[in-house]
Amino acid sequence: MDVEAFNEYATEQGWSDGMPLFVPTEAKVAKFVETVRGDNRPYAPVPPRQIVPTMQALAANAVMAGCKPEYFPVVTAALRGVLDPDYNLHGTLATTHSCAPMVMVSGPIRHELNINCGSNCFGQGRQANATIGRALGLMLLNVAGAKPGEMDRSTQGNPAKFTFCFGENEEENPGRPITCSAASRRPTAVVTVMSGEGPHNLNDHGSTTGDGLLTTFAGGMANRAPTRSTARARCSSSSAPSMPPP
Amino acid sequence: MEEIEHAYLSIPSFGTSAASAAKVALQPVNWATDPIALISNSKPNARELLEGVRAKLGAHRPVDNIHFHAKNSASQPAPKELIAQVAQNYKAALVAISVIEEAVHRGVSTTASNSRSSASPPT
Repeated sequence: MDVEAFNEYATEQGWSDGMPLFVPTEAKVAKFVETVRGDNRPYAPVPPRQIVPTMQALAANAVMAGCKPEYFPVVTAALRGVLDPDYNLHGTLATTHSCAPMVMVSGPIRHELNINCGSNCFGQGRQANATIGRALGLMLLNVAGAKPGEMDRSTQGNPAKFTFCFGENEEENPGRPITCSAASRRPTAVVTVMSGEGPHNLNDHGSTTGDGLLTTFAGGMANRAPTRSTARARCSSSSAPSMPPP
Repeated sequence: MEEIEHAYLSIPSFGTSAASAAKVALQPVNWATDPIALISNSKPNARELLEGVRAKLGAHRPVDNIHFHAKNSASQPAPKELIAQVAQNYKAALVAISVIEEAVHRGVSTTASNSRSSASPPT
């Protein structure tokens, strides 16, 4: 299969996010689908296009994104999260706002899949971070129908719409990791999704006290141009249940 | 360009329509007489825009069958009940800011409008 030819074709079909795509051959797609065998829960129609996807179509997007097959259960968990009514997928895709789906992965699976949870976790460098988020984005483009300028009405967009996936830094979290607040059986993974803007870094190289740091953080939060909304937002985050056992 | 053999590719956009989404062929709208829904997404000035549209239409046709509707929240999709009501009672819908896609599938013409556009004049 000629990769360049497929990319030209995929671009003509509107399947591309602008970055090079891997070819979703049936053989590759079958490997991905195998990783979620046993997860027979139906998918709700994906807004705004209101299409019920096939597992093969979902896997095709994950292949195109450059995922490894073992990432696919995390990707499908993220999709189930954004399909939770509390996430308000229709609103977050059709909005003029620049929000992007953020995916945070918790639990031991972070290390199994080499998901970056620490330094530069929002940035480049790890295949899992880059492609899991990208796979979800491609699903929302191709299955949900959120094409820029059509159903995706974002006025300016946001680089996080290419990909925004990272691992929870449980080991250095002074509080309780999300996996502790999930069901007591301590699932191997929890995938949390939230529709948000890209990260905003608060940097303080001058303070030497906690008060000083907090003042910087509070000032950073207060100085960001507020997003005024005339409507009450229903939701901002949703946790997907843990992945089915292998 | 090299021919792509679909039989060897999985289509990333493939899926089935939700069971309740029956498609209906669009029917032509008589802008001079047909009932029209004016639907606001409840953002500031949406209602005012639609009132201006209704006033302009009133210069060309009766407006007693042109009615206002609104969805409660700009950040939520229009409730199914509102869409069903519009599809059942109107031939066209003019929507302030967003488009109700389902109404298109049920044979109701829709037109997206923004703060600088106005309704097409009746023919």
